Amino acid sequence: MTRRSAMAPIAANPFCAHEPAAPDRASPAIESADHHFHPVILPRHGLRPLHICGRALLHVSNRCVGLPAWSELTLFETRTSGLASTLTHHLTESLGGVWRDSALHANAPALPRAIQAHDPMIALVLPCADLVVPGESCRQAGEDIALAGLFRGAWFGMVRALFGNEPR
Amino acid sequence: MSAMLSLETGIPSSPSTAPAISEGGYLLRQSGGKPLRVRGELLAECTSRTPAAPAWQDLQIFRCDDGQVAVALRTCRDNQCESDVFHAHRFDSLEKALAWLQAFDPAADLFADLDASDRRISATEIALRAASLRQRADWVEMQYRSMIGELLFQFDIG
Repeated sequence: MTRRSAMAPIAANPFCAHEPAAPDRASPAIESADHHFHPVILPRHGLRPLHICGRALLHVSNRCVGLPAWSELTLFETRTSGLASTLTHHLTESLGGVWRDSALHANAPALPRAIQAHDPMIALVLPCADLVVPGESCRQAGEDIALAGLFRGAWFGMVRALFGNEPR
Repeated sequence: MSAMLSLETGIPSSPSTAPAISEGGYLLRQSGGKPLRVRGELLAECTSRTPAAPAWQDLQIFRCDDGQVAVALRTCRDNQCESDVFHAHRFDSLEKALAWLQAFDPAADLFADLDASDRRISATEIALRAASLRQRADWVEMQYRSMIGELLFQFDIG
C-alpha cells in the first residue's frame, strides 16, 4: 500500500475537523439550513489544507475497468455561498502515485472555468527514462506516456460530461 | 499533538535513516555541520519514497523538551547513503517549522552529474543529460509537495 492511498479518501473523510468553524453571518439566506453545513478540511498539494464550513454537493469519478489511472472530483458549497473543489488523481506508481489539491471558487461561473482550465498533466511527471543509455526504462517510459494520454483524455471526458464543452 | 504521525510507503528504510539516539535524546545529522542534539519526542515522520523514485526525502519532526520544534530532513539521492544530504533545524514553534518545510526546495539537493564544459561529451549527450536532470527534479519536487500536503492535512485533522 502506498503512503498516500493508505489514508482515507477525502470524499469519505470530509467531516473530521477537530474544531468548529467560526459562525458566519454573511449569508442570511442559508442560515436556516446551518445544520447541513459542517467544518470540512480539504487537502492541498504542498500547502496547508483549506478549512471551510460547507456541505458536499457532488462527487464524480471516471474510474473504470482497464484504466489504471483515474480521477475524482468533489464539490462543496460553503456557508458563505462560495464553492470549493477537491481534485484527486490516482496515478500508477511509475507516474507518481496519488495527487490531490483543493481550491475555493468565488461563485458558480468561476467553478467550471477553473475545472475546465485544469490540466491533469500537472499531477504527473513523465517517467524518468535513462535517455543516455536507452533500455528497459525507455520501454516503461513509452507505456507510461501512452497511459498518460488515456488518463488525460478520460479527465477531459468527465469534465465535458459535467460542464459541457468549454466556451470558445 | 501527542500522537505520532507516520506516512509510510511500506518500503523498509535503511537503518541509517533514523536519527541516532543518544542518552535519551536524538542526534540529527547535518551535512557540513555539527549534528543537532535534541531531547524530546518524535512528533511525525514521513517519506516521499516510491519504488520508481530517482531520489526522495525522509522527514522527521520532533517536539523538544524546551518547547522548540526540530526538523530533520534527509535527501536520499540514490541507494548509497554516502551521497545523502542532511538538514537539521530548530524552530521556536511548529508553525515556523511547517512554513520552512513548505518553502524548502527539494530539487536543490539533487546531484547534477553534468559538466557542460567537458569537451569529451557531445552536445547531444549534454542535452539528454540536462533533460534527464530536469525530469528528476520535477519528480522529486512533485513527490515532496505531495508528502508535505499530506503531512499538513494530517496535522490539521488531528
